[in-house]
This record gives sequence, C-alpha cells and structure tokens, in this order.
Amino acid sequence: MIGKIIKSRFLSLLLVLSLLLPCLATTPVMAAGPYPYSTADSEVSNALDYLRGQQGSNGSIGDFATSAWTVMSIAAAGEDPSSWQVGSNPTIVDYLATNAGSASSTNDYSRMILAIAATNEDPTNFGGVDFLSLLQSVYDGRQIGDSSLLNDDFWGIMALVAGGEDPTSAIIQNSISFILTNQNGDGGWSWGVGQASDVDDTATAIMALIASGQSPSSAPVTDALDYIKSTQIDNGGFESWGSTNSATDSWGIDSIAAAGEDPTSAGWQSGLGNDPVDDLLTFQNADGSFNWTQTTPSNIELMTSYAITALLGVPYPVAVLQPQQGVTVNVRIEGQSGTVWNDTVTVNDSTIIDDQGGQHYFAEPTALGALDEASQLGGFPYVVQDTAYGLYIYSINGEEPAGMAGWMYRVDYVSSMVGAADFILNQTTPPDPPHQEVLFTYSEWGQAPLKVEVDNANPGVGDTFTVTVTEYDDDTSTWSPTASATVHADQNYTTGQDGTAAITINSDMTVEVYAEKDGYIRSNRVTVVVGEGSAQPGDNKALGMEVDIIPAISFSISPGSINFGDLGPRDTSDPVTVTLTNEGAWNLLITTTVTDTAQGLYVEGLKLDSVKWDIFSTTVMRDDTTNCIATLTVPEDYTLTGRQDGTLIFWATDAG
Amino acid sequence: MLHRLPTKALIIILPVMALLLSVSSVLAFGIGVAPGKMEFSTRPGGTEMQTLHVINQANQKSEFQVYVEGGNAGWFTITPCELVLTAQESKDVEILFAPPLMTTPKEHDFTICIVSVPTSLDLSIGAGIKIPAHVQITGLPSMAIQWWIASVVILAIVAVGLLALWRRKTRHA
Repeated sequence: MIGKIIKSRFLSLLLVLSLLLPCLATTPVMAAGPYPYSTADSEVSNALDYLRGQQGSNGSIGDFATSAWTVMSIAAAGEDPSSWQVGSNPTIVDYLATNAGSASSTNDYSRMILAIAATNEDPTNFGGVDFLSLLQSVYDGRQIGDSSLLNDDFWGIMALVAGGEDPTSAIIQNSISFILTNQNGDGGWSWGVGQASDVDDTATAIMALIASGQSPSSAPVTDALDYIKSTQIDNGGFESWGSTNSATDSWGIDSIAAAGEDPTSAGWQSGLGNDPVDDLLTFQNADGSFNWTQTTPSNIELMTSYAITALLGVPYPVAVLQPQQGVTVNVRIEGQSGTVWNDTVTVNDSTIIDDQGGQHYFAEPTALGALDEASQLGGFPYVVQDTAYGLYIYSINGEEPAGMAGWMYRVDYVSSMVGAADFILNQTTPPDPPHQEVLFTYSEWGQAPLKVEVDNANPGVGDTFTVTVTEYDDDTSTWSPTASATVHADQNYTTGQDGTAAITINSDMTVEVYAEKDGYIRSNRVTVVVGEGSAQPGDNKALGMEVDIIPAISFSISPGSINFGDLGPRDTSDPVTVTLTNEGAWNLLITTTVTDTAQGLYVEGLKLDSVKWDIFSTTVMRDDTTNCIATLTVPEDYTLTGRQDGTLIFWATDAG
Repeated sequence: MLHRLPTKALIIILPVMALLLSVSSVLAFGIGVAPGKMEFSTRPGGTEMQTLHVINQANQKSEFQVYVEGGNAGWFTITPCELVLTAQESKDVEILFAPPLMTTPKEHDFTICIVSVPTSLDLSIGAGIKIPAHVQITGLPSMAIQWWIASVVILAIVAVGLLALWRRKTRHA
C-alpha cells in the first residue's frame, strides 16, 4: 500500500516536472543590469577601460574614423574626450583636429561633425576645417552627397542637427523627404537607393528622422521599427548576413532607444525571451572589449565604441550644439515710385529658385536670403536669373529693368562688390559687421542713396523741427548735405543748400518724413509724432475713434487634457493644475460636467480642488486667472486596466 | 532586473500610454460668445431670428457644438449647430425661435450651450459656455396666422352662403 502511494506521488512529481520543464527552458536570460546601463555597471566601465588602454601616444584609439566614434562613446558616457590622453601626450580630440584634413568624403564630414559636437567644439573651424560648410556643399538642393546613396543622408542629417542646423531648414527637411521617398515597402532602408533593407541602415534612418524632429509614433518610424523587429532571431539579436553581430545589435538598440523604447522590454524579446542587449553582451570579452562576431574580432575598438552608446541608451547624435540663431536685419526695398517693403527679417540658410526653376542653396545668411525672407513675409514676388556672373535680381514686385535702371543692393548704404547671393550678413566686408540694413533699390548705377535725420522726433504742436537730408558718396564713403531735395511730411518741403528743411506743424499729427530727389535713391523714413500724434496727414479734421470689443463671456483653459499617469485601485494621482483664464467682459461662474467610457472611473473618482467635480464651482473675475487642482482616485473595486478616456467640460456662465 | 520579470503583468495598473507622466498636452482651449444672454419674443406660430457670435479662443483649430437645453428645445433651430473654427477665428450662428401655432402664451427660460469638443486622449478637457435665453410668447398669433385664419373664416362663410342658395333653388324647383 505504502509502495503504491510512493509510486503515485513519484508519478505526480514527474508529471509536474514535465509541465514545468518547458517553462524553465524558455526563461529569459537576464541581463546583468537594468537598461539603460550606467558607467557604474561593469559592462560599460570595463569597455571604457579597454578603450582607454588602447590609446596611442598620438592620442588616437584605433584608426582615424574609429577615434571619432570613440569620442562619441566617451561623451555618451559623460566623460570629457579632451581629457583622454596618455600622460601629457595629445588628447584624442587633438588627434582628430591634427588629422582633420584627412576627412574627404560625405560620411567623413558627418562623422567628424558628430564627434566635434560631442566635444562641444566648433564644427565650422576644427583643425582649420569648416566641416559644416563641407557637408553643406555636397547638398544638391534635394539630398546630401551621392544621390544613389542613402546612408550619407542618414548620417548627414544627424551631423547637421548635431552641428546646430535648424531641423526645419531646407537642407534637413528636403533630405528627410528624400529619405522618406526611399523607404522600402517592408518599412526598412538600405545603404543605397533601390536596394534591399538592412538593420544597420534602417536603424540610422530612424535616428536621423527622430533627430530631425520626426515623431517616434509616426508611420515611417514605427514601420521601420517593425522591420527591425522582424529581423530578430532567437538569441535576441538582429540578423545580418545570416547571423548576429555586435555592430548591428548596437545600432538596432540605438534606434530603439532613440524611439523612446526599452530594448529589453517584452516587445523586444524573441520567442525564447532573449532581447538584443542579451545578444550584444555575448560579444563582450573578458577585458571589456567587444568582438564583431563570436568568431571574428574585427576592429575591436570600433565595436566597443558602438556597444558603449548602445548599452548607455544614448543614440546618435550623442550631442547637439545650439541651433544657429540667424541674422536679423532690416530690409528696405525702394521701387520706382514708392517703397515696396520696409521691415525686419531674420535670415538663416535659404533656397533661392531662379526663373528657370533651378534651386540654389545658401547655408549662410546672405543679402539675397534676406530678400527671399522679405518676399515671403511681405507677399511680393521677385525674380532671379542664373547668369554667368552669378544670381542676378531681375525684378522685384513686378518692376523689371529698363534702360540703364535695374535692381541693385546696398548693405548699410554701402554698395558691395559681390552679388547679393555672395554677401554673407554679419561676415562680408565692407561695411563692417554687424550689419543693420539691406537696401534694394531700383536705380541706375552711380545713383546715391539719400538719408533723412530729424533733430526732434516728438516736437510739440507749433514747434519747429529740422530735417537734414544727406547723400552717400561711394567714392569717399562719406555723407554730404543734399540741396533741393523734396522732404515729405505733412506737406512737401525743399531743402536748402545745407540740406535742411525747417518744419512746423500746428496740430497733433504723426507724420513719416522721407526725402526724394531726381537721380537719387529714395531715403529712409523717420516717424515724427507732433504733440499727441495719431492723426495722419489729411485726416487731421476727423476725430478717429477706436475700441476693441471683447465678448461678454469668454475664457480659456490649459492644458487641453490630463494624463494622470499609472494608477492602480485605491491610488490617488499626483495633483494636476488646470488654469482658467477669464478673457471676457463679465465675471464667470465655473462649473463642470464629466463623462467617461471607463465604467465611472472619472465620474466617481475625479476631484477638483479636493471636492467631487459635480460639487465644484469657482468664480473667475474679469481679467483674472485661477487655478484648480485635479486629482483622480481609482475606486478600490475598479476592474478595468489600460488607458481610460473621459471628458471634463468646464462650463462658464455669467456670475452676475 | 525587476522590470523584465513577467510578474509585472500581475500587477493591476492603469498604464497610460502617453510619454509624459502628468500633463500630456499644454494646448489651451478657449471659447468666447456674444451676447451673454438672449431674449426672444414672438406670437404662437411666429419666428424670431437672432445671431450668436462664437469665437475660438484656443491656440489651435477646434470643433464647436451649439444646442439648446430646456423642455421645448425643439422650438429652436440653430444654423450651423456644429462648426469648426481655426485659432482665434469667429463665426455667427443663427438662432431661430419658432414656437408652434398652438402654443399657450407664456414666458419660458432656456439655456443655449456652446461647447468646444475635445478630441484628445486620456481625460480631455473642454470649454463650454451656457447663456440664458428668456422667451416670451405673446397672446396673439402672428400676422400671417391671423390672415390665414381670416381667410378660412371668409371661405367658410362664402361656402355656407352658397349652400343656402343651392338649397333655396332646389326647394323652388
């Protein structure tokens, strides 16, 4: 009997074990630490120590390209690459600067900019090389570098962003369009146009898109991530040429981190429960370095550098310099019979389209770029012709050249010897920077610009103020009085031999004073406020009236939605502030209604200012703002999980 | 390592999918209307049209709904009752009050509601305004109805007269 019982229990144990065994066999291999890793984790610190041990007396770690990648890894680890040196020998940054001239391809320029940005150095002058200009010079108006390649666009975009280029600039946005046009049907990208997708290039494309501002939830990015996921094999790594390797794993992990995802999360685990970090760590050697594959070491320093950024969860670009701020100047356009435009613009890079449809990209803020910006802001057209001497401004606002007259330009009244497309604002001389105004004039060669100045821009009614008109002499670079010029104010005046005109206005008035003279370029305008001002010439007999009527009831709310975060039953959220602003004419009484599709989650659990929402009310006085604090308590017996949506309406009525 | 364990799935949580932990949107929603109250007066069967000016005070395009609350909300016709306004755009909405012919002369109070319809996820926040609408239904039907009733009465009198004449003729025959 006892034997039967023992036999029965043994059989039961065997049965249980047979059920558990498959589960045990598929238990994921745990990574040594939580992702992302830190420099305190041995996986990273050992890798960094390995690289440090490989530094040569000239500062290099591996070859020139590997040294640049290593600089990025050092920066990603939060260390200063400029401090990496053997004794008092050159640092690794010194090594890159010394050998900067050896960079010769588009991808060389990009890699260098990424490394330079990681060291917080100037990519326009590193080792005497302007890498940003070199990279911008290979942009053809549509894409960067070789039009049959895609990888030079991926890295080029990341480099431009890292170098401080505005992500909304034409060079980046057009290159992004080029990339998106060449996304394969499987969601991935290749190194070249029309080629099959691979993980390495898909990962770099993802990083480029996100660096340029593309949302991680956008279809191109999610499709690309799906492609990368589709290449994952049982060991957790991403298949490349039939197996996995540390470089592909590293870039794949980088792209996942760039998208804000955790590469060790369940979604990135293989059927056997392994994730790409698990696979990457299988390539790490005892000395901290990383092999390319299990059997092939291949450029260990490079593989180790790639692995460090991946383990740290720091995708490329590892650092981004401050975007260019642009140059702000005044643009004044004096046409044949009047001023076409006069206002300030901020110029950065620009793409000028000539009359034949040709695109001309200028990375620097040019005088022509200022015209282009003014045209966009002012809504007036201009036409540029591509001639043997460069871009020529043919017409502005429909005014075309005739006889000896045509469009010319001056910067701070100085006529430049270079074309407007070649005049870089705040850089080209003469005149000396900083530059204040770009003046485009419909004039003949040799015509001098006029300038007006007043001795009192706010005279009293009946007070006399003096307008002085001067003309600029291009030969002597001096100003001299202009006699017999017509001064426009409340009426026309004529300057005397000393270039002045005395003006007395006997009523409150605001006038714009400017001067004209045949054979000269129309002057600037100076606003003179006489007395209280406001009335314009010709309107001084009428009493102007103006009032802004605001609505009786008007208010605004911020934010537009509330995410209370992760909560469980019995949890109460952190307080969220909702701001109510009365923008109307009446005082407001505010109440609320709540609806939800969440089994009463919000209806039951939402409180405003510590009271249930249906009891809540507050008064917001005219021109006043009030805050209310929203909290959400999840009922103890609440059974739903996942995101729950609801609607909170703030109702305003007249508070009397 | 805990974050990789399957036991996480056993914890009952409400994972909100957005990236930010607290406020997911900084967009402001706002609404303005004029006038702040309305008054209508007409006879049974009559109509009165008034205009309500709706302003989108938000910094983005918003959808608005306009409707009437009250026991006889069907007496109002709102055109359009749904509108989409870009940031700071305003539009006039026509409020037509048309009490039925058989309505008892009386005063009524309604509420006209104008609400921006939030479309975001999580707990969406919308802005609404309620303005009181006081209506007075006067004792006499409208002029058109008076003419209609008068016409019917005249036709009835004529018909009765003709019938009387026809009977008199047939009796003599």
